[in-house]
Amino acid sequence: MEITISSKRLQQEVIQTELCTSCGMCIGLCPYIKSFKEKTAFIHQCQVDDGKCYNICPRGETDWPQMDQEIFGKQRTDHVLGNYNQLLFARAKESDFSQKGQYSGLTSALVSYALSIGEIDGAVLSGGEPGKMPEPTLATTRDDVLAAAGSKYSAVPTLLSLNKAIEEGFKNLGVVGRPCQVLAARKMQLRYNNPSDLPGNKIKLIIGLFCFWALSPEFYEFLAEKTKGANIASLDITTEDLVVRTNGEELKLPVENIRRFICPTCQQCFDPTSEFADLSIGSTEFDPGWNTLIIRTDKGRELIEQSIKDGIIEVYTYPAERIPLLLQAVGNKKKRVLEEWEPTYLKLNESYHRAVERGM
Amino acid sequence: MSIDSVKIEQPGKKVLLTGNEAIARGAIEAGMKYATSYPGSPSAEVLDVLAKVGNPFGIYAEWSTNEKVASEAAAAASFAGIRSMTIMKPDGLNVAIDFFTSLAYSGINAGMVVVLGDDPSAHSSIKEEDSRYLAKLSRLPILEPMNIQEAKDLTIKAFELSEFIGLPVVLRGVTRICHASGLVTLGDIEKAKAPVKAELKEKFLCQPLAHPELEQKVKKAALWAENNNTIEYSGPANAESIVIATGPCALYAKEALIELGLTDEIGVLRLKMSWPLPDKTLLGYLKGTKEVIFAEETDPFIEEGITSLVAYHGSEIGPIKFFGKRNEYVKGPMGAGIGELNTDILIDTLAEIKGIKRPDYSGSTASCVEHVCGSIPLRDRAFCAGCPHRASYWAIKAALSLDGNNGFVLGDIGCYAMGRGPTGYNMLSTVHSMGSGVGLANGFGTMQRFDFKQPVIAVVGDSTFYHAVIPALINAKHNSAKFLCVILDNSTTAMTGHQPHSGSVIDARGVDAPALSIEKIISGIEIPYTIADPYDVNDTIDVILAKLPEPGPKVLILRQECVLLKSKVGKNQKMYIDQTLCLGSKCGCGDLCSRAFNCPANINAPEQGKMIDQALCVGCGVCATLCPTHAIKLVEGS
Ligand SMILES: Cc1cc2nc3c(=O)[nH]c(=O)nc-3n(C[C@H](O)[C@H](O)[C@H](O)COP(=O)(O)OP(=O)(O)OC[C@H]3O[C@@H](n4cnc5c(N)ncnc54)[C@H](O)[C@@H]3O)c2cc1C
Repeated sequence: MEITISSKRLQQEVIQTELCTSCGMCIGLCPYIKSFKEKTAFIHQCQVDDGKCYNICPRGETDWPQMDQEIFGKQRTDHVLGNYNQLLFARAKESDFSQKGQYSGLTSALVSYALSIGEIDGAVLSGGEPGKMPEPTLATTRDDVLAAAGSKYSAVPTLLSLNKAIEEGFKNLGVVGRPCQVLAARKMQLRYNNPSDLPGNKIKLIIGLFCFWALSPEFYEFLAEKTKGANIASLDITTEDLVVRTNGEELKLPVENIRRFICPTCQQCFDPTSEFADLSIGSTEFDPGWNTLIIRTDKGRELIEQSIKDGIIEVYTYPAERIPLLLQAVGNKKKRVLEEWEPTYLKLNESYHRAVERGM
Repeated sequence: MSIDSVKIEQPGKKVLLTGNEAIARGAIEAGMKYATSYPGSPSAEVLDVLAKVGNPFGIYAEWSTNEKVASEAAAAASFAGIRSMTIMKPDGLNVAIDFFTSLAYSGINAGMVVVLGDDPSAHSSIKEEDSRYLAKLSRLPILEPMNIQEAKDLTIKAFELSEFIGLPVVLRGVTRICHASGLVTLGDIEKAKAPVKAELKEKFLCQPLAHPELEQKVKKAALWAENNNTIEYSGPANAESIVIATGPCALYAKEALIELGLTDEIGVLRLKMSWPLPDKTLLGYLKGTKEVIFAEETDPFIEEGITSLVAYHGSEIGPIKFFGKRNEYVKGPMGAGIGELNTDILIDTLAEIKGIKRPDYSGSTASCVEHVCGSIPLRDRAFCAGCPHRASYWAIKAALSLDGNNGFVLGDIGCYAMGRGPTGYNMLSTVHSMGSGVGLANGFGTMQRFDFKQPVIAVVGDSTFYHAVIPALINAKHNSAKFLCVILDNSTTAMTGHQPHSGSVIDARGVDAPALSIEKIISGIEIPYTIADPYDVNDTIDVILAKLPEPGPKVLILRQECVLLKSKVGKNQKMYIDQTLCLGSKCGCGDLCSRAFNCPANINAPEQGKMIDQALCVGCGVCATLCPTHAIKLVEGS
């Protein structure tokens, strides 16, 4: 018999199968779903059919072509990077952002700018000290944004802050999230926006990060052990190493050492570049003073144009010789997911399968 | 039926008493001066009554910490020459059994009566245990009253017998005696007024050499039974068929025979004393009998005694066909030896044995029950509205779900044992006897070496804590057993009617008494503890989550007074529902208050929507904390 109760479906298809990404979007939608140590838990059975929790879940059934249609009004031609407008190098110009930010601080600079011009009245971010369990936060000022800068490499349930902010009455919210979070926020935005007091209508800007995987919180215990409790100033994960900077010292550990902490759901992720965001931002894997920027929607393009005009950020042509590297990394990941996992949550059409056969 | 009737000084006057009151009255008439008990249904009120009315008669009455101490204290009084009584349910006898099997060997001095309140069908127990086997094991003669008058009279007889043989004697009441009411002709109370002096003059040592003497005492008890009219026969002379019954089953049998029109054919032989049996008298009745039907609750106790007796005397008394539990003739709807008997069951049994049709009798118990109850909606056992246990279980459930490591909860005995059912979100994985939850936690908590990883919570009540949990916690500390003991401290023994316990500021008689602090005892064992308010659900969840991973034993005291006690003082807060905010059954709530949290004061009315039942609500505010839209609000200034 087909299960129609959303919370049961969510438990069976997503929680029990360890597909939950801990995006946080369902947390706080009702009193039954909560998060603890980056794990989503059901504390009581709900009996509602067609509930939001399943409908907004990034690992709930997702019709990929339909998402493209609803967001971009068209199907994709690029099966690796999805629908986009421009691929660029970009960086924040102000030193505060480049110092606090993971790379150039582009993301933080854009969020701070969007707040300053009133484009958004709050931004949902992932704050906390480097190397410690991060926390979902809501930023309303430049200082708040700077305090939440820097990548946290675990699955922060950031979007629970989105639900909280909506409940508190924020009307124009920005979101910075991992690709799964972008998908969840988009689902909320598209599916629950009419009448206008519904939560989807309060989501105004979605900035997505590049993300190939996030780690489980045991990673922090591992870190504390490796650094012998020293204060961690910053963390970075490059293609080869985990780089931990403590006061004065730099510790390099091969990425292999932390693979065992990778969340199982990340292996089934089909979206390393936040394909449904307004803007997607990643590293350049090359120059930490810059970021990779993908402009996807008109809204994203307008924000970038305006922030360039106001001298907040600057952009640079994406070096042609680096494009194949990016395409290869992303394409391989997507191909692997389809071939090895055939995730059941993904609903794709023929063009995707043909693309896989062609090698993406 | 007022407890004042228990102390009336008018011999010959008829008053309405409950069985428990009648037992108390019997004890007073017998000059009993020293009573102890740990509360247990159905016999809890006996000590309550003695504590309330006993003062003018110089009676000492205490709620003891557990049944073992209660029995020992009562035995001490007997040693010192004072008639004593200890009252418990079968579970309590289990706790005290080690003492009783030893006491048999040392013997006693003044009369000592052990009142055992058995609970066939387990109306207010977790199991239906027939205490007679353990009584026999401890060589305690057993008297079984048939009605309320006899509850009093046999109590007095029990003291006589006890002194005659030098052993304690059991008075076995069942729920239908203890909780039923009937007219009782009062007796002389003169003896109660006589002054007594306690002094220990002999030694009471348990030693194996005393065994032969003990068996002689048992023989003496059987002889007493022969000479004291402990067998009562009613029915035709030389009946070929007889029902042999104990306690109220004799009344059911008589009624069944009337209904079936068999009174001229079948007699009823009632045993007031079910162990040891008066063999000679019994054999006299059995001689010439062709059929014997047994009616007793719950186990086939006299059935075994009598069939064994007949096996030794077959050649003298000729063949008898027996109908009982062993061959499954006497059985209720759940099977032989399970549940109470009643007139209906015996009508069916006798009709089957006699091969006659059961009369179509519309006045049968079953049809009356159906007539009355047909229209009453089924209602599950549930915590009261505002009960702190509901909030505690909600918090425990939430914490274990959040913790996500397959943690479980070990239960214990008290109102909170209902945590096994929907009212406690089916949280309990085990329920056994007083203190067993923490004992089991000791086991789970020391199995890490076997790759055991699940978090363990043991819940206990405050009264249970004093009763049997302290040794288990000592064991846990010494062996570093990892678990969280949650003490649901509602400041009373709620399940049995709010008796004070060792942590109370008054004793059984209402006199000021030193209250033992749970936290001081725990500090003494050097187990870390935290105190939280279960009504503050979110704080409680956080505390549990923080405590679970810590090594060794930990204690969390969830302290909030029983709402029944509180409501006596009057409620202080009122809640209401703001209908403009209430989501009801929609996504985002899904009936949290009336379905999920399921407090009886949160109702879902078909037309009005969610409502607070003002008659039930005690204003604890937990539903307001949990309500996702903050629709449940406090009435300002209430
Ligand atoms: C788990 C994880 C894995 C990543 N993997 C890759 C990768 O493989 N390749 C790649 O090119 N880039 C990856 N990134 C993105 C990269 O680390 C930078 O976050 C991104 O390039 C933006 O840089 P920035 O200088 O603009 O950052 P900042 O200005 O410092 O802004 C980063 C923003 O991300 C938010 N954030 C931090 N941690 C999280 C988190 N765990 N979840 C959601 N939001 C968070 C912060 O609140 C902040 O607003 C990953 C990021 C994360 C969080």
